[in-house]
Amino acid sequence: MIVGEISSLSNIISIGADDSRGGWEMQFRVMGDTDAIDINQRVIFRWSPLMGYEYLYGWDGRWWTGFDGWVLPYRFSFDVAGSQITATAQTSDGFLRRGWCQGIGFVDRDTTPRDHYHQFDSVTGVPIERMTLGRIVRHLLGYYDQLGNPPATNPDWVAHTNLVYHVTQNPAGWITLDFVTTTPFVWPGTPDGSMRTDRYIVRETKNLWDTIRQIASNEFFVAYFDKWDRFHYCRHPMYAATPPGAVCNFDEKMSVGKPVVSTRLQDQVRQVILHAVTDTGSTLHAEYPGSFAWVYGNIHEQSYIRCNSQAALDHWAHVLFLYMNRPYTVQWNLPGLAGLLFEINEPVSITYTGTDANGVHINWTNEKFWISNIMVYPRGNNTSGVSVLTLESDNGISP
Amino acid sequence: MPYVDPVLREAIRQAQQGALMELYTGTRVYPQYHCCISGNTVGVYKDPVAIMHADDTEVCELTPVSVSFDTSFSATSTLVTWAVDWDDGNNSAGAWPPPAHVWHPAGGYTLSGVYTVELTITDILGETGMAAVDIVVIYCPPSWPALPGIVVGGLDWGVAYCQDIYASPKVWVDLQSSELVVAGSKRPRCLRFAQDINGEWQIFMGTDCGVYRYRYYDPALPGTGHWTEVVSTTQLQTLGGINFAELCVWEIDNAQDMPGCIYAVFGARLWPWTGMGIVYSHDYFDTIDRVVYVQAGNFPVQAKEWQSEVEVVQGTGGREAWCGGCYTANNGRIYYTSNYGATWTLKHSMVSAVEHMVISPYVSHTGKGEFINFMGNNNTGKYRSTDFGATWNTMGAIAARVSRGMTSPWITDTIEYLEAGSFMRWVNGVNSVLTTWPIGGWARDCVETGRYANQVLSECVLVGRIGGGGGCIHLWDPSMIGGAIAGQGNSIGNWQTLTGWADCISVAKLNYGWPKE
Repeated sequence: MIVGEISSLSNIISIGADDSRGGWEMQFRVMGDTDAIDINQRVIFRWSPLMGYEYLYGWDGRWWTGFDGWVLPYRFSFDVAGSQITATAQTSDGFLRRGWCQGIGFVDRDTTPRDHYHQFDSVTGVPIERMTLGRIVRHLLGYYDQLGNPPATNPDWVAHTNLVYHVTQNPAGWITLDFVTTTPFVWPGTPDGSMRTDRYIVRETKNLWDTIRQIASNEFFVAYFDKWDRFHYCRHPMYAATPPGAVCNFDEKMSVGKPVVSTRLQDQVRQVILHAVTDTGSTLHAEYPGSFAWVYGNIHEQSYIRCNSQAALDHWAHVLFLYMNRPYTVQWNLPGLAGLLFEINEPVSITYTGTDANGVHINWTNEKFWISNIMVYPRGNNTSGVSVLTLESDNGISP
Repeated sequence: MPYVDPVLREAIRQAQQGALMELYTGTRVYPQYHCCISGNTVGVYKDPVAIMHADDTEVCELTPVSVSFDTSFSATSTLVTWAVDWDDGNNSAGAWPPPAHVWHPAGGYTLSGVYTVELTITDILGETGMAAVDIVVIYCPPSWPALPGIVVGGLDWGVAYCQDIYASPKVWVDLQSSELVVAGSKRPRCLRFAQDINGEWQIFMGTDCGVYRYRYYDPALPGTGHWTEVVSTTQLQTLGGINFAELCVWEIDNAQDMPGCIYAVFGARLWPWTGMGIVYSHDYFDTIDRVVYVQAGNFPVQAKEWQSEVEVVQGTGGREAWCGGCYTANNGRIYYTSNYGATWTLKHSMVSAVEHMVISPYVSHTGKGEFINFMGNNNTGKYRSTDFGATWNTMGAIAARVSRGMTSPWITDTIEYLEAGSFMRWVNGVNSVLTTWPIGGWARDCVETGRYANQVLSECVLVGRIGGGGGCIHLWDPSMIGGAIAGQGNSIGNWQTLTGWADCISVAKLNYGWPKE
């Protein structure tokens, strides 16, 4: 709910997101009123192109929400004439980064009914909910369990946090689980479902966000908050059975300043090895390539993965190998606040052919890239700006 | 070629043009993290668990606000008490279980701001659980029907209302007066609040340029938020050849509140709102008798001159409209209708014109409601009835009358008020006369001599208590330049000039502005 507007007092320094953080962050200043914001207070940034926006059939001067997050502890300086707050706001991953959780041993008891909510089974509820990593994440954050008894207190609000909104059980919450994948993985039927598992230990933590991100990485999922503070837990798009197509094609008309292409070594990893545990407790292993690509070089080996399909594990190993040996990282500058139209891990494409004049010898036609970082810098007293996108080349991940 | 969203491309292209940016703040949140209880206990909360939400997280000042927290619980113990800190110095507390809604003890927050309401619950072991919620309190401008007064402006007769008639300084809000200015117009005559069955408030104002109506602005209703003419001077002139209309608009309040319950009297006719009928009127200054017919509701008599007063009365059979006027020379009558003008019944025949009627709900020592009727320029023509008009008695004559060179000064206004020791006052241009119940005798309560010579006391209104006693404020004829005078108490003297035309106007017209109910 909007409480006030501080547009005239504030100045946005940057808004951005990074794949490694899993959320968005805005840095801003507020002048002349140290009570204008408060810790844990919501801040919303909105913008609208000055010249409107012609959407195919007519002018559409819509307002976009560029950021929706929460103020972190901030600082301010002052003198006799005024004051200035320098603040950072983050999406709700910022809360979870400071959140704690006890150690929990989750177990799926199959035909034995559960006793409490750290247990799942194959007999309680219609429909039955077997244990998946997604359901563990859901349990940690909060949900309304109405599967029926046991336990005898069902239905229950089950949560280790108070962040999740529910109209009756937790109306003070503010995040949604609508974008959390909990349905079980089945290969090839639901290849992007969450992995079934019979035993899973969540270690005691003082950084619940890190714990959730780790759970996600164990099944090649991604946990992140988009710029509108919506929580996503889903298959990382690069590792999806069918990776999504580019949402936008960049050409030289959509660039400001100078794009920067960073070339990368493509022989850094000679093999990717993945070790996984199945829900029955057996192990799976995948290697890509089957034999070393090069005599010397690094081997990337990863364990603690949960996967019930050899084919899926093989696929992930392949994708990871391609990604780690990708040829380019590109820094592409978009005009104004256009960076706020994209999300982390979205694919885009670039079409550009060098010329004799600039001596650039790349010839890209719809060359696919994945957004790994977005930084938007408003300028000119909040009237213009530049967006810098960091793009990682696809390198054949997408067929 | 892969699909590329054209919307996105266009948005990026437009982004080159720069952008408008806004930054908003919202409410605070209070993240919490819970632990399991060891053993066989189900649930994953640390006891006790406080769960609270506000029924409204944004409220107006002085508006009841409540929180609910009866879903709080303890899985291993027993809750015994709860306490709520409203963050404005108010607290609520009680034994468990709480009511479904716990209301702010002062009826709401008095000042706007953001308040953090904190709940603390305690179990039998002394363990506590806490929850908090932010409530945003905003200032909500009052809707004007609740405002204390309507004022009709001065020489350019604008209309404004005052948010607090007793505040200093007063804050006036213009009801789009520019719509009312008509070239060559004189001044407004009367106005009334009216309320329909939907609770919608309207103002009807009679002017010498027609009848206007103002409906409070509602974006869903066309025609609201500004004055609309409902009877034009053209209509009046076409039908009656008048160039001045004495209007009096009032409402018959009834259980149905039908649209036809707004009646207007102008010229010599009483007519219902939904039907104009045939209108006759005559010039205020025309002394030639004219025969006029009253069409509304089959009014049974011919009116010789103007019908000057209508009032709503709570009669024996329910709500009645009384219409008083002068129908023949030296013969005034009062008729009433209890069926919105379908039929009329004679209430009383007077000896002179009915100038004013004052209907007082005052319960006298006899325990009955009092109906008073004043007439004309005759100091014996003041009557009262205590049995809803079945019988009438005179009110007695004033002890002395000072004409100040004016012949037969007409009673120009009458009020009644129920302050201790006072009952009624009327003015007749130069005199202010009052009586006290139950004596019925009249005493002249005169203004200072020489000060207001050749000026006319045209209205007499009362504004609450002034100076600790009943007060009367006389409004000068609005065509005169000047302010007004005010009297304090009931004794002769202590008259003082009000400062400022706006003060005078506002106070004087306050009486008109009060809703009927």
